[in-house]
Amino acid sequence: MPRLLMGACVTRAAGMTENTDSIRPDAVLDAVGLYCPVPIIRTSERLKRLEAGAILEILSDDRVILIDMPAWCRSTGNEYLGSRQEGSEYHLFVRKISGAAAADGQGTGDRHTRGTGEKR
Amino acid sequence: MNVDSAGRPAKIKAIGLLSGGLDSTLAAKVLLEQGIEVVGIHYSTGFCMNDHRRAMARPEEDPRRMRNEGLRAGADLGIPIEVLDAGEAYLRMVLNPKHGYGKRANPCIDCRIFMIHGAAEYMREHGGHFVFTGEVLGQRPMSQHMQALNLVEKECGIAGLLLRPLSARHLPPTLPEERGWVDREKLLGISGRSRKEQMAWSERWGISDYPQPSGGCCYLADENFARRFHDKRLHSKVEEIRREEMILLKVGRHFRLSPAVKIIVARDEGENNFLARFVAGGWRFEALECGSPITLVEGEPDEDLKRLIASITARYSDRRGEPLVEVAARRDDREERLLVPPVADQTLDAYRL
Repeated sequence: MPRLLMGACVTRAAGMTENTDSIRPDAVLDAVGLYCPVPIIRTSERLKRLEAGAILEILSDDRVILIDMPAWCRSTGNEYLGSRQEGSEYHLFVRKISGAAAADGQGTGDRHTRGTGEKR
Repeated sequence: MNVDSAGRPAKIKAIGLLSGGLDSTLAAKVLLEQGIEVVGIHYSTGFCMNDHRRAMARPEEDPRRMRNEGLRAGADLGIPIEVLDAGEAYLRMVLNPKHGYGKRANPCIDCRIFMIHGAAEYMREHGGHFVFTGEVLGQRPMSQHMQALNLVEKECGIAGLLLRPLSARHLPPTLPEERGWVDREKLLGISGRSRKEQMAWSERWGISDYPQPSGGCCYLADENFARRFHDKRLHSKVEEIRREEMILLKVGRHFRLSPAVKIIVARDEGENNFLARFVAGGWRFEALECGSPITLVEGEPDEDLKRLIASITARYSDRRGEPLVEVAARRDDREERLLVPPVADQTLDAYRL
């Protein structure tokens, strides 16, 4: 279930540092060191296993994900809640929306193999 | 399936390949304009220049220039995007394409078949009425002439259900058109290499944010990459080539020293850091007490080749102006030291890939 605490200041503009301290994720995905677009593929796979309304925290050291993840959320209908930076890592937060493309077996996924797992 | 009073499905759904380039974006838009539901399939092949540029990017580079165009296009069009990892199956195809290579290492026909086949498979699993692409008749010499378009459709096993909205008026009607799912009159009749018509349509529909057409973003069509790729095929058991080896073809200076030994010399600190992740189990060389590239060795060098590798490493180190340079050759916990002169450039050229 979503755990966005009352009074939290969360903006959704890509590339900005938002106040996401109050977000309590339901699951965490470690995508540090993974090649683009594997973090997006993994995000979709992980979201499919969560209930609608759940929040996924994604860890990545790819700063371009701050542009790609909001775009993917706009495309699939999931909700991008924002991000924060800790050292060289970015923490992004996505809420699974009921009926969103990725939640219904659409959206990002794997066809031929699961993510490559290639490390940068 | 819900049908309307004319017996047509109430909601038509199309599955299309969406790279995020101008053509695929326009193809999707043509169908959206007809009220058709569109799902975009975006393939990650491992040979995308943008993805690699992103992995190697310096902190000061503008991240917007490295965004994933498929995701951007999906968001702009308001359609869901399925990002698929082409994976090992794609690599096997690239290494042994049924229809051969183009001018470089580009197996364009097999690549189209692979991706359209994947889109068709997705359609069968998740529902949909037909598959579409942004292909334009006559635009690309290998894969987009009439014979190739027909071949691709035939081999994908979806005869009649593959629509090319940008060139449809030049092509025989497809089943979606014959069945009234798509209004043929509202499809386009673009052909040839010029992008003027596409640009006019994009302006008309307010599509302005797209990568430069014909920019080229596939390593397989790159001359330098292709030279290294074919060298790899020539000197390896093709069935044993791994994805990791393909990644390394994108990085550094490559020199073939013998049929069994090749080296990769990093060009800067970013490449040094990158190559450092691939050193396990093999030899690596570095000049001592100076700024030095990492030189990765593929194969088992004898003593003569070790001296040559050391002298090449010295040539690209900060001590290249000195008569003798000390170079360390390391493999796991083992280290050997060699004192060598930097190699002369004319000698080097004979080995360069």
